[in-house]
Amino acid sequence: MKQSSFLILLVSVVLIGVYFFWRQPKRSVPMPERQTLVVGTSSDFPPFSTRENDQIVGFDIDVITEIAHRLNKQLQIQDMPFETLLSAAQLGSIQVIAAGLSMTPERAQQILFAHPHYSGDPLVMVSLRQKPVTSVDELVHQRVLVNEGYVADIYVTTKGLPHIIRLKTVADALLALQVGHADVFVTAYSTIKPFFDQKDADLFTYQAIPDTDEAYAFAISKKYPELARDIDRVIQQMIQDGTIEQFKKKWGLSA
Amino acid sequence: MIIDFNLMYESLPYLFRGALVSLSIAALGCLIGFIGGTIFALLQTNAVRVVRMLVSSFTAIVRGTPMLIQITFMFILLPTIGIYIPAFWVAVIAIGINSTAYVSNVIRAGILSVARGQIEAAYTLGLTRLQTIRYIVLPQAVRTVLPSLGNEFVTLIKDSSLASVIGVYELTKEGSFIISRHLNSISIYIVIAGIYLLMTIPLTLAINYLEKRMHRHVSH
Repeated sequence: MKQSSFLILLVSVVLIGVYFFWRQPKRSVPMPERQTLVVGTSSDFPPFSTRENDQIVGFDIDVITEIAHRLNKQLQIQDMPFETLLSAAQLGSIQVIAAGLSMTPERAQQILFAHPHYSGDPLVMVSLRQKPVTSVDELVHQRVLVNEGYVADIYVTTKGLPHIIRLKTVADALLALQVGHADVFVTAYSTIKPFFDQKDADLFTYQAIPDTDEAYAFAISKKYPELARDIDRVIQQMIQDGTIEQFKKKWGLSA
Repeated sequence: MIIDFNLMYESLPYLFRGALVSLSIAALGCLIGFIGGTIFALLQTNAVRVVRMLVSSFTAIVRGTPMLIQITFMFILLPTIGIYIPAFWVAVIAIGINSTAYVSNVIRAGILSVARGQIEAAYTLGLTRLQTIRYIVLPQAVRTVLPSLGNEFVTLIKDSSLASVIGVYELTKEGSFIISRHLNSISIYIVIAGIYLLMTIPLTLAINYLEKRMHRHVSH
């Protein structure tokens, strides 16, 4: 008798536990408060998002900070791996992605893009100065480096180049190019520029690829359509009043 | 939809192809580790003091540094000393070297577990030192450490994911490539984890079985 009552107790505790466990996920998605703007970024993509003295800074960060200010919201920035940003936005645990995200049709299916705040950024072919690659036609015979998932990656994949090496960061790619694992590194001009401003500029040379142009925009979780409209409005405002141009100058992105 | 079953299904062929590469890296790395580890273990138990010290500093360095660092280091080091090989082989060599350090310790323990009396008996019977090692010590040592070697292989299957950082298309890299295109990390990571388990669980079970069988043999 004692045993069976113990069993009943145990089963009911388990059932209650299961019930609450089941219920919890529906509410556990942290819905940010109205006054806070929760922004996800990946701080390994200078000049859009990077780290300086333990602080996340960059062109995208400056722009989104100004947007939060104009929308009278408190800004909360979460740094996470690039590939998890989109899932986080879909879940709604972050509202906005500010990580130098370029607009592609595939991405547009899953999130809302605001009006682009930076465009006119061509792809370039970076090669060693002693072994320069000057024409796009040469790429077919070259070992081509790209950063995985970047627009340059999609560009060379669509071109059907036979020998593509995909590495995670710009620094990895430059190093691999330097030691001879590849002949050329295709990337957006804006991503390579901060590296050349720092050092090694005389080691490499680069050549723009004609008819390539990237547009960067903030991506807003589909759970916040109103926010998307607000951000869109503020960005157009900022383009008109010259604020965007100021930030571009600050981060060396103006033409 | 957060979990995209269609994408999971469509990415299976690519991920299984990656899994094959992972298995190859692990198997080749394990082979290097087994051969290198046996040689190093023999050196550590038989060679002169200087060699013994060199071997133990090698194992200390390899075991004391993360494999991620070792792989990236190899990736940069080999071309700078004039060795140009594809990233796949860089990964195999790096993982093989890493495994050598671990396996040598395991086999050394196996060698030391062979009773001193047997070795003395072999000498008395007129076997040379090499013959004693070849016919008396190694067969017994390897048999005792076989389960540990199996575990090493399981570890290497998981560690081979580190080859993704130098651009080798093994399972993790195939997955991250698909994620970079479809941006659905959760679905793909679930499939990747499932495939790793598919490789490691049967192996672990086989090792357990082997271990039990060997135990029976020894106790009889």
